[in-house]
Amino acid sequence: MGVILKVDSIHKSFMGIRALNGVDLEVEEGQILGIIGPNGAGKTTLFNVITGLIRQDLGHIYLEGKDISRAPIYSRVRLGMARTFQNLTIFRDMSVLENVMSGGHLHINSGLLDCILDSRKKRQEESRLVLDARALLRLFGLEDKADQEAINLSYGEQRKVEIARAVATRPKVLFLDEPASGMNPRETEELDSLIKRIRKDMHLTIVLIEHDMNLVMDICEKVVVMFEGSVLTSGSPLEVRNDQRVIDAYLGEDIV
Amino acid sequence: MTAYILHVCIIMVLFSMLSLSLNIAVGMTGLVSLGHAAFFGIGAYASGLMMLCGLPFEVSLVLSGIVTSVFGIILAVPSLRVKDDYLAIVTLGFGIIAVIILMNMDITGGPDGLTGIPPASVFGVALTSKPVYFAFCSSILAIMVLTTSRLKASKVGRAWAAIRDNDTVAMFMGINIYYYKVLCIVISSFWAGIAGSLYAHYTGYINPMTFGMQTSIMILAMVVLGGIGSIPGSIIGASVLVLLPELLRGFEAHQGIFYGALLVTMMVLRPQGIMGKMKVTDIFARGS
Repeated sequence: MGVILKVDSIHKSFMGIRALNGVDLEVEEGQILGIIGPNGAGKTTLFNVITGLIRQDLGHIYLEGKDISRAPIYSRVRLGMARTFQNLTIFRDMSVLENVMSGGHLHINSGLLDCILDSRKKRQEESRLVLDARALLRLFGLEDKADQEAINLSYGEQRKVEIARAVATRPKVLFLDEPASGMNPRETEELDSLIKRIRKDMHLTIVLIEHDMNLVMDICEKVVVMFEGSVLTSGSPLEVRNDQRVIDAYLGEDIV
Repeated sequence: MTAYILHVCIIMVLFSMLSLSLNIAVGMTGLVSLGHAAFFGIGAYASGLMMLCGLPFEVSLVLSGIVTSVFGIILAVPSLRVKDDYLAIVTLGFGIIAVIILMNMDITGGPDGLTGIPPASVFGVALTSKPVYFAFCSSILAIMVLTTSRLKASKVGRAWAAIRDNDTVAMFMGINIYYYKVLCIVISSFWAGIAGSLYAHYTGYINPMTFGMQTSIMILAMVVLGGIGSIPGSIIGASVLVLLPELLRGFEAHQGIFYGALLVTMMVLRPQGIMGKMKVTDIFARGS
């Protein structure tokens, strides 16, 4: 098990405000890594830089040893990165199945002409895509919702569809930005086992930002604590929980 | 009387092509264009000029579509690099500039327009009679409907829909959104150019005022009335807005009132248009 993702001293300022101040990060293949920290610590900014949504001022990102620091988003996705967002970003005008199918975009090789002529190749690829998407929805326990309009699903289900859609791009590393936010305790519990299951079944490495400490402590093998644009400390959940600096900066007294 | 009905039918078919081509951009991909009539005009002038230079109709028809696509690319490449909202403004300006240029160039005949455009003929068969031309235009519309619905049901259509809904998320589906937006404008302007060519050879005379702001807004109204993103809706919307002035010919003075009232009522009672699923506000008022 080697390092699959390496982030090397990322700096990013927004109009003079330092959002990221030399962040280093290493993620081992197959790991579930949690990023925690108070609001404004730069967690989502770090996600945005790693996944290519914003460009860092300084620093490098390596995926499987390849420098992707300047790669556009679609090629990072092709190389094996996928992410979800903090807010709801489901495609509202599509069915659940279509949402997941749009994640399969890169795995269809038919060209424009195939699409216009409705070629055999295109039809075969489309029906395979439908099968793959349904299989994925089964894994997420959403197979009976496949043909519903995505917008009609409950909040928790929509968040699951978002994860399924990201997984449909067949990533190596999956980034989840506050997957449990807005979920009730039962849904969070389901999410807990779902994340473990997709890691195992899809051979994923998962990086997640989360405020729900029970979830983080339960599923993460490594926790990185961010504070004011830097990594405060990192280690196993237990080490981090007992670190006095983390308690002062983020957790507070009562959790220990 | 039959000739008149056929004339209205041909105009209905041509505007169906225009509204469907605009719907590819506005409805399927969420790219709002306020200057679509300019593409219509470019196709008409390109085709008219090419035939006046002696090119056969079959060639000038296809070339006019391609020439119009090239203008589409010229417009799309710089304006799509910035945020969506700018595209509406850029296309608005483009529509106005196109008319001014057509009005002032010598080869386009200036404000007098182009006259004496030869009628269409395919492989030596003249398409001069109205029923034949109606059949010809309808079959081109049929090809357009077929290819558009296939694209819509393919990865291209899904990519467009993803971009329309949320282009940031679309990027994380691995979609090269810039490519797909340019592709959309290319296809949309191609068909508008084809409609322009068919129009030019039908009337035999074109002038810049036909391709101005008013026509652009009219085409947009057809899209909105018929239904954002809906293929049959585009045809229904175009048919209604072509037929209505004909039916209301007797009340010419009050036509505008009726027209406006129809659109307002529509927006209040059924904002998604006759056939559409999406509300017009999903496209026009969405936050970026």
